[in-house]
Amino acid sequence: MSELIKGGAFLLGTVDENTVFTPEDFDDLHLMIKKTSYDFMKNQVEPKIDEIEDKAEGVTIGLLRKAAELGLIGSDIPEEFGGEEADKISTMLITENASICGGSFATAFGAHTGIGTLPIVYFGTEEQKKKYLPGLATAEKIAAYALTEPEAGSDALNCKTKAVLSDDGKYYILNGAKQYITNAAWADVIVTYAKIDGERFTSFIVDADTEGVSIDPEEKKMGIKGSSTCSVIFENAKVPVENMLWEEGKGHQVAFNILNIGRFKLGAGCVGGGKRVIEFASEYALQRVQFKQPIAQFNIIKNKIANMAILVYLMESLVYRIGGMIEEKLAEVKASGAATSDIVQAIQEYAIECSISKVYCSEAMGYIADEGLQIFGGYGYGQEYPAERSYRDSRINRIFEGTNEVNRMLIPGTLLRKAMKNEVPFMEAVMGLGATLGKLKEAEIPAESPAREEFYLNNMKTLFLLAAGNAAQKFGQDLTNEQEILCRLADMAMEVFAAESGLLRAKKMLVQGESENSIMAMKMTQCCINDMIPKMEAWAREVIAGTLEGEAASKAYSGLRLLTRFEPINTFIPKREIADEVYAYKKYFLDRN
Amino acid sequence: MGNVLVLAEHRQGVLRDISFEMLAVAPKLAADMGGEAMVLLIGSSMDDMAKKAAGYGVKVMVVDDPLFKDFNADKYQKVLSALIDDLKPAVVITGHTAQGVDFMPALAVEKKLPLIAEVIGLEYAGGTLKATRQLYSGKVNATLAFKPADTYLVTFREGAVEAPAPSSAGTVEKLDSPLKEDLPYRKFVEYIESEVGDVDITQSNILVAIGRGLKEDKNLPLIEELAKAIKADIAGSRAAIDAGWIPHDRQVGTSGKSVKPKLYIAMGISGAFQHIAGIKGAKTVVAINKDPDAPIFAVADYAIVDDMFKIIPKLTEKLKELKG
Amino acid sequence: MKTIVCIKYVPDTSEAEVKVNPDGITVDSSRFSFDINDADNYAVEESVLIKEAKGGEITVVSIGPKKSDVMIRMAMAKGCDKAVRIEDDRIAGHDPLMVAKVLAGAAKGEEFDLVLTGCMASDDGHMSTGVALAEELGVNHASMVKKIEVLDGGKIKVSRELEGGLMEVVELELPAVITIQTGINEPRYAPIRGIREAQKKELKVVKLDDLGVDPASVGPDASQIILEALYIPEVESSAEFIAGDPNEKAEKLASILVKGGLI
Repeated sequence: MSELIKGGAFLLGTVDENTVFTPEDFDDLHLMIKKTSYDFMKNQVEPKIDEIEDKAEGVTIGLLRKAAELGLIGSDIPEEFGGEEADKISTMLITENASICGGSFATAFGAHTGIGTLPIVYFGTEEQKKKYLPGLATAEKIAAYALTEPEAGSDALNCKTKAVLSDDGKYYILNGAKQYITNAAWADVIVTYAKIDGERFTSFIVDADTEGVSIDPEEKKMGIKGSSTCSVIFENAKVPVENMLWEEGKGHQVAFNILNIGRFKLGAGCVGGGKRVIEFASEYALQRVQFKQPIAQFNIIKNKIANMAILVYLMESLVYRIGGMIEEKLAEVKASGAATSDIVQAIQEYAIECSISKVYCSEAMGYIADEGLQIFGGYGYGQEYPAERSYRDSRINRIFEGTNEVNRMLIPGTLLRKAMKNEVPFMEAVMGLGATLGKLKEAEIPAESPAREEFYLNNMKTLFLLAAGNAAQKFGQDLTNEQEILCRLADMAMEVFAAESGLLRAKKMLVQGESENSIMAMKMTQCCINDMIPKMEAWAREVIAGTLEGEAASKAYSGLRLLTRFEPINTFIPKREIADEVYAYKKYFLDRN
Repeated sequence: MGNVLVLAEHRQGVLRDISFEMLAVAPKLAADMGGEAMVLLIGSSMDDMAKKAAGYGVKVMVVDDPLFKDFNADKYQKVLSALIDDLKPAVVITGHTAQGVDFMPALAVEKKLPLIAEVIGLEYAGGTLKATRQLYSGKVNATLAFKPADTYLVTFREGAVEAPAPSSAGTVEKLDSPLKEDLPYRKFVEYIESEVGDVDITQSNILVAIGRGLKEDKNLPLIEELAKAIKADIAGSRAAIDAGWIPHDRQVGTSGKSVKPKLYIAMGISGAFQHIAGIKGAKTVVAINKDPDAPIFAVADYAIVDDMFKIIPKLTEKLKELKG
Repeated sequence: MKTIVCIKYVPDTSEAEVKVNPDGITVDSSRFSFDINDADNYAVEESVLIKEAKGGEITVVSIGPKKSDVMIRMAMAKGCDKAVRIEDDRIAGHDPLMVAKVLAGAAKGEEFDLVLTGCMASDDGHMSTGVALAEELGVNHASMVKKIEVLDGGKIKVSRELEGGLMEVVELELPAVITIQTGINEPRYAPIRGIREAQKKELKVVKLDDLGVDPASVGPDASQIILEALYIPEVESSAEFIAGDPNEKAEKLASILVKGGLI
């Protein structure tokens, strides 16, 4: 990889495949961590799924501790505090595999290792790290993260929990209630937020056994039933002043940055979950005979399996691409002696990509779980097979770590904010639209791959600029209130990022020489881009119709027509081949070794 | 001369089945090679065994010495090494057993002779000896040819062929032991019988056997319930023993027990050769496995291709009902 | 205790369909996933257990392609100290006697008290390499071992697994080659810390010439056996396959068993 790509910049120009990280770039260390974490989850955790779902005493925590012995818990924790200080790619591989055994374990694992531990890793003082991280690395102590309140969900800063300094100046006295807190019943350490004097939003580390901290009974949930979710109540809870995390009034920096990491890790988890569905759905389809043949051989089932595989391919490509970006940025700031604020900045740089990871992957996973269940037919609706649990479990992904709606609005919102600050050349790109369209009039659709897919993808980026540019010009600062437009722009940006990640990866594989993998990767990319253009066209049309009228609209539509010119391919055939490849391995085939 | 020398295998005073199975192959091979089949017995006080082996119409040669009271790979190797020089057999066949595999490769290296192991068929034609053996746990067969050599070494798979019936009486000849003194560097200590558990599966009437497909021990109660309903004992393949799901004395197969129940229900067992060898005595075999290509189906009388966990609960329920 | 552990990179064919290539002497392995041979995995664990109890150093030796480095490093992540990988396409891999000569060439360059390896490779299953290796090295051996006890005075006591569940206990003088049977221990997972350390451990990649092994002595010409053909055996099954959905299958089987007087 060469020079760093700025967050969001992918929308504004072409990206060289050599600048992106792909799963084919995993080194031996990554491959070994992938294998160890997969084997551990598959052999130690999966057999215990039923007990986990029943919240059998000590099972999940016992497994977390066993995982910790292998270093799977402390991968983000610095070595001096008992962790492994692994790179982000390694952490993502662990996160991916932690999700193959159902959402309950993945949620407990993620809350502990991610949002529960990372605030201390990134924002803690030396003393706080020394005190808390070694226990968290071994999972002797379990962490929870308590941000949401009954009246502060998406509107997290509307926090009612209050902190007041005690008369002796030694404690903050916390009062308030937090809701939907993962790991609450098991937690020893709770990272939470309160407004000092009802004003300054601040983060705190609270020991769960502090007097005045109480945990409500378990919520009754639709899915992830084996995870603990409760309300945490603070009633005159005395939190020592040294447990204030980061700076007074800067709790939002902790909250939002940790959420960013949570979002891109959530994407990694969906990759693991999606791969697992492909495994059990393909295995079932190959075994289930109807009309005297395994249903796997029916083309409509093949079509579903292929669509699932394509989504996993895209998720995997985009998630590890983001991992590579963040890792590189972190390596850069660490090399220059990173202060906390630098790390915050580094992660913040890719806020758009983190939101894309969260929304795209949670929805792809939702689709995969849904179609996976469908392949099981009536059996899928019963609890005997894993499809039903996977379907229920996957639903929460679209809600937690910031709803998909909030995250959607963040995507174009952040881009426009960066544009205003001249961090990305958005306005220049919009200004250049006319010239781009002019050139396009003459252009012919390339006959060959991957030139043809590159051509389409560039047009899709231009289409985004056409829609976003017009919206920005029409609404200016008030665009932040045009939620429907923002969400559509987010859809377009996500689709472009996913397709581009797939294309860049396929191109990078091709450079290494033609192989079964590179051929399949290109086929999956072609199908994805073919299926994406009509969607993009419809979304762009919707945005233009909601933005412009009369001649301006007509002009935009003619640009749109030029940009969405394409020759559809027959995707049935390649999708059958993709499904056959899944059947040959009974799993997502790029994971073959 | 194309003599074929068969090393008869015995343990604790009894000739093992493989000794006779090799006699289903050796005489014909020897005839094709223009020689005769001979049996070699190495041990101590083996008159009865020698007589029994001679009952298959072959010449039996005996190396009888207290030094050979217990099996010792190094001593066997020394004896065979000397006898190959003396007798110049065209082929030496031993069982592909814990004995055979413990010295034949070393003998091959020592004598610079070719070895083909775990052979299931031998054929001599046009001056070339060819062997058939299996790869990838029985999914592929291989034909291997020996290049011309003074003596070909073969270890033969147990249970690959049926032992012939005894025929005419052959002769017994005592040979001088080529080994004059004990070897200091490898010492037999003792045999340890596998702990005898509460059940002797070789005597069971009905066996319910589990393999890798059980996935984990928490699924065991499902099997126990079925076994209880039909008064069966529980046995298993090597995978089930290695995983620690059931005790070692319940292992069926070459390294475990050979069983002869009236009914054998194999669940989640793919049927590696070593396992199948242990159920040859079963009257009726039922196999349940989700892999339609599982070799276990080749020896089954009734077969169900499906996930065992989908079948067992209903099977147990229905059996209980039918049995009132 | 200085130990050499020999491991093999094998395809997992337990649930895979195996196809013979048009050349008739190789199988299409492009769709297989490869990993450490099962019995060798137990050998690695046993070597680490012995090192943990008695101290010492473990050298991994393997013949295989670049791709197998991950497997080798995994053994080092579990506690082995260094490794030699022999990559040379002049070895007649179908003949375990040739393979043993190559391994002996690698072992001769090392000091050792003990050589451990799996008793059987899951792909070709000769169960010959380890014992042949002992003869090549001129040291003692015991095969199919399910228990190792290190005794004082340069001896070990091992339990060999015989047929019928019987164990044969033997005492051996070191140095010795021991072939390990599965189930001897419980192989561990490689911890991340070990995985990281393994990246820094020495993994020498060598050719036959580097080992002082004459390629002509271990090649197809030196081997006295020729692989003539591979083919898929015909499996005849006289089984009655019971059809239907799972419930129907279970019910049908139950009535066959009861009506047939089998239970």
